[in-house]
Amino acid sequence: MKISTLSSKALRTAAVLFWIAVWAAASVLIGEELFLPSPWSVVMRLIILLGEGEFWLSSLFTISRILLGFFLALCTAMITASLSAAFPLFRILMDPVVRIIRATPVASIVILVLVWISSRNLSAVISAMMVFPIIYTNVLQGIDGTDKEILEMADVYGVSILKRIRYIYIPSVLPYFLSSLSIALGLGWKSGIAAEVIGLPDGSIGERVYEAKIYLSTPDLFAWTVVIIILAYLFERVFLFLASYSAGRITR
Amino acid sequence: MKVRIDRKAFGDEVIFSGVSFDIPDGKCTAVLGPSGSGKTTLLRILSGLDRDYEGTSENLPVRPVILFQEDRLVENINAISNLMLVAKDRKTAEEALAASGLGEDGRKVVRELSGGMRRKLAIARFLFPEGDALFLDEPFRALDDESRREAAERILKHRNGRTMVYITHDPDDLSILGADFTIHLS
Repeated sequence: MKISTLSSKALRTAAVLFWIAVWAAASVLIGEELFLPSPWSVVMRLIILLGEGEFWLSSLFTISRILLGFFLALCTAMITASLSAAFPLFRILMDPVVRIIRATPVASIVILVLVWISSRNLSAVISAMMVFPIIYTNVLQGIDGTDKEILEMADVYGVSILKRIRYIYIPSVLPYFLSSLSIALGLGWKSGIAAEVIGLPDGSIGERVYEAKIYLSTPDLFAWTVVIIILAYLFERVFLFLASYSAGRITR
Repeated sequence: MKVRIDRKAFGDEVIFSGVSFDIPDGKCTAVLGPSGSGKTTLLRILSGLDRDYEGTSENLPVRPVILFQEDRLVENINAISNLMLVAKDRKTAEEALAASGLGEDGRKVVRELSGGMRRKLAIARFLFPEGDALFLDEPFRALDDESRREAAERILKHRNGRTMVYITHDPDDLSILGADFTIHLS
């Protein structure tokens, strides 16, 4: 059965509404805000939070750290992936690093990193470490997957390295990069916030989430979680748009 | 160009055994034969792209320019960007695009182009590099009669006295591109 774009959007909205209704019903059944607050009380708490200056400062603190970490990882991953594609020895050297970062639990890395740096910049380092292997692996896969026949043509036609990067490698890597960007941003947010909850840097979203937990303010916990989900979603949309737009401009 | 092939095989399948080819400089040579007779393999050996065979070669071109059987276009960028790979600037690329009859479709992403349009684009790109010998593998694949004639005219003009070797299985190609010599593979 074919579903038109309009009805598909309506169905998706209906699915969200359905689960909100399930949440509201479960909250009524439990009847205890401490265990499961109603959607209504979470929205009310969110509205109150939006009016507080501290909310915006905490959000700004966490956003700036996670974005810093994300950009650091993005640049490092793209440079190292290109080097790995060009130099087999460098690829072998990078392989254990990427495997170890990927396999180590976030909590272990957080504790370890806390030994070396202050908790203020913890979320930047942690989100960078989580994002790096995803972007690195995907960009490398994109470069490796470049059509060998196109590369042979470029050799025969004497295409310069800069033009190869612009018109052959970037279009080849782009689909891999975009799919990794989406996963990496989500993971960057989740690991960054988890790091803040463990490291408790002053004035961060993680600290607010932790405070909500120890003061048993479940509506606050839910409200902050909603904020994190919305921020992660918005950043994903913006980054995917910017990445496709820039790649389109470069290869035009 | 002289090539002596004692043995050329892909796995157990022997393509050439104990044959030699002598391609005169500055002349146009057509290679004819049915599918699977080794035409493309021979073209790759003559152009120096394939050196994985037992035998010897002399005077192979230093800068061969090849129109591959496959279009070898970058699928997810537009036609002009494909020409920008070899053109010195956008103006030159746009002129080449217009000359190939693809002016209006230059902004389209390659995967949206028809088989004929893609071949025209591949030919337009082939006409950019200044090599010392031209090699064409089924140059007019997917083109209609009129487009074939136009493309042949532009290729012959671009050739400018250089050695040219082309592969075809269509006798009509012989009449429009001409040939000083022919090689028949069986």
